[in-house]
Amino acid sequence: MEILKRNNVRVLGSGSQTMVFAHGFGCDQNMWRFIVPEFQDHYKIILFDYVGAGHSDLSAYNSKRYSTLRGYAKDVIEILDELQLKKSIFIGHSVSAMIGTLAAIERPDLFSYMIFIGPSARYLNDGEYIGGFEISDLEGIMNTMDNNYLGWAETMAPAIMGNSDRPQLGEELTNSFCATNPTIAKEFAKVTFFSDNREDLIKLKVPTLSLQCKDDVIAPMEVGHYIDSQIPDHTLEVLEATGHCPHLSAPEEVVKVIKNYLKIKAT
Amino acid sequence: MKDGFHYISETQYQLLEDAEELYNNAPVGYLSFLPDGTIIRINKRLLSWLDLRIEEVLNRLKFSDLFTIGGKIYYQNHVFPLLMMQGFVNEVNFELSCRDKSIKPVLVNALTIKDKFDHPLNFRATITDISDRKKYENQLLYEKKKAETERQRFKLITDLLPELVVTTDHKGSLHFANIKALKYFGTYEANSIYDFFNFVFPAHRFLLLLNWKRSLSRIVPLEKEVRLLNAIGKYEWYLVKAIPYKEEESGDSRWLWVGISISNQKHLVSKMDEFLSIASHELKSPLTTTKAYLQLLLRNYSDHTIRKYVNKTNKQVEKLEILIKDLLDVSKIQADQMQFRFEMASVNGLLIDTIEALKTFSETHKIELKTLKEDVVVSMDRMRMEQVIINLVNNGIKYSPDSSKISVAIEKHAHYVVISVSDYGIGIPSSEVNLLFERFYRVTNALHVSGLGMGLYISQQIVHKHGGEIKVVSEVGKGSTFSIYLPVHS
Repeated sequence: MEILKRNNVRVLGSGSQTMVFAHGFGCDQNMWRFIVPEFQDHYKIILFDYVGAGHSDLSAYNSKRYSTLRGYAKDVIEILDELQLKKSIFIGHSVSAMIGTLAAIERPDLFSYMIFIGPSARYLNDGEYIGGFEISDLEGIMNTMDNNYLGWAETMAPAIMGNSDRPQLGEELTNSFCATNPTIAKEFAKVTFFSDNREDLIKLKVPTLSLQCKDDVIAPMEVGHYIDSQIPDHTLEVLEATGHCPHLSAPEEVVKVIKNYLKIKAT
Repeated sequence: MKDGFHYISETQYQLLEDAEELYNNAPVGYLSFLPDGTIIRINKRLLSWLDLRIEEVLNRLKFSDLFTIGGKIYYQNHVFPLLMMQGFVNEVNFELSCRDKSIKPVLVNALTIKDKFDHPLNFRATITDISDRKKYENQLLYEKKKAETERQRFKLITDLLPELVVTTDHKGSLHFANIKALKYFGTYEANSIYDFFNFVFPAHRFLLLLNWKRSLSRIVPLEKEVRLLNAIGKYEWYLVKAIPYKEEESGDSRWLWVGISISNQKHLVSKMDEFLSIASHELKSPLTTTKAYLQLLLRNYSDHTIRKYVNKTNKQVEKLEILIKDLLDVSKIQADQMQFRFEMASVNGLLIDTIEALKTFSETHKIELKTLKEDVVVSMDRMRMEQVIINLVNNGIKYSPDSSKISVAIEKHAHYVVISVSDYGIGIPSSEVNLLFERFYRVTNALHVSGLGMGLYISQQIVHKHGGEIKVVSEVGKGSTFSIYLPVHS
């Protein structure tokens, strides 16, 4: 019960098979709202927020536990164990792809298929490997986050105007339906952008589908091809959609590709 | 008239032209882009900020191409989802990446335009230049950091000091206290103390407040010895100094208080007083016995030589007696046990009798007395006032070995009389005038003159008890005038 509350777990739909939806960095389970209706008639749907995101229990946040993606993978395993679910279909966006990978390596019994949207095994370039970012870019990312998530409202205003006793001002100005605690958001960003899961890909024994967008700044095409070359049972689908959030910008296409994959795998 | 506008009036058309003008030249950037980011419309203002030509942008660049790398990611990861789900974003911080690689901080507001099926058609964004705000923000943060550094330094310095350091407002409410003071008063927060004066020993509180008000009205530093309550409920002696200052920002008047511990000093002084009291009593009794035996000698022996030596001895014993009496007086004053018997007495009478008696003893100096034509009566302890005048005249004689005159005069004013004793001797260096009345103080240019430095102290205390004051005017080599001011009550 604690775990379900901790991760704000919601169970919808009906069906013998379960789909677990794991949101990406900087958001919460709301981002699945265009996808879920397409599956809930045939699948049991599990939605959750990572600790620190959405309506999770912020008091459960522990900087040490969540200092690596492994901590977040533990959350996923604990949720599935709590609900006594096996052989689920895991759908993870962005950094959740690698969180799912870690969970599935540790507990392959929990998963039947992995579906990744915009996955990346490592965001930083490293020699031959193209991740899309230089380490110097990270500063820019953190800056923009500072300016927004932790921006005027959260850091500047209290610092200058001394109104730290009026946190509602911060809340008003934070542009997010998934208003994450700014400190946690920044830590999550660091964990995400410094993670390197290239070595883990080969250990993933669960059949996996990756959805790769065009023009994705966060997970460029090269990364999609790299993942495709590393995961043993892997299918790469390059979408017509652009950006990093096709489940928001082109939900129909995403649903179609997932359904198609599951259909092929089932036969 | 243009196609598509033929059905509207001339005036309305004019208005539309204005709208176009506004779109392009308003001091904000406008642009519209498709869900995949492709820019389909952009105003001149934004183009000029970016230093791009319209043909380089339309259908070629995507919205996130306008931003730095952090902005690109932030757009895809945070802003785009918001536009899709919430339908708008407000005041998102971005940095425009211009052609010349310069960066312009901006705020972006964007709106999702949807079709009737709720599918997004395009997004419209309004972009505000916040370069100035960022500049001031940074400056503010810098100044704040600087002020914080200064504060830290001030705290470090004050925490190292052995004194208590606090600041209060004009009501005595604390704003700052160094570690020493926090510990002394037994608190963690300076602002938990609303009234500094509550820590002052009740009997000292009024005097300190009085002095405080006085120094506030004259904007001069305050200095007072008081007992302050410590964390374990005991009072300790402190020399409290305070200066008022105005806080630059608020204009509020504040006080900086420094408390210097004088417990040890006070302890030593009280030990000395104790010793003084015991010693003067112990010395007195053998002297009384000695005097009695000398009396017996005089009564029983008529031999001339014996009488001569006994008389000489008697004189020395009398000197000793005076010294011991002074010591006793000092210790009585310290213990606040000196007895006074006030009566209404004539000033002329006091002076005439006292000087008359002195004249018979003075071999070297002539004492001139100038009495009042119209006598005045004041409340006094005649014996004690005599003691003061004898002391001043004797001092005058002692410190003017090369002169032969002492002038004593009385002056009458509306509310007081002044009795002045002038000598024409060595004078007192101006740097020492203020120290003259301290216990056991000896003037440095006359250390060869015998004495214990008690006379002026006793005299001043006696005059104070009369509600009066002693003042000195002196010039080295010319002489000194000691003036006793006594109040006249009508």
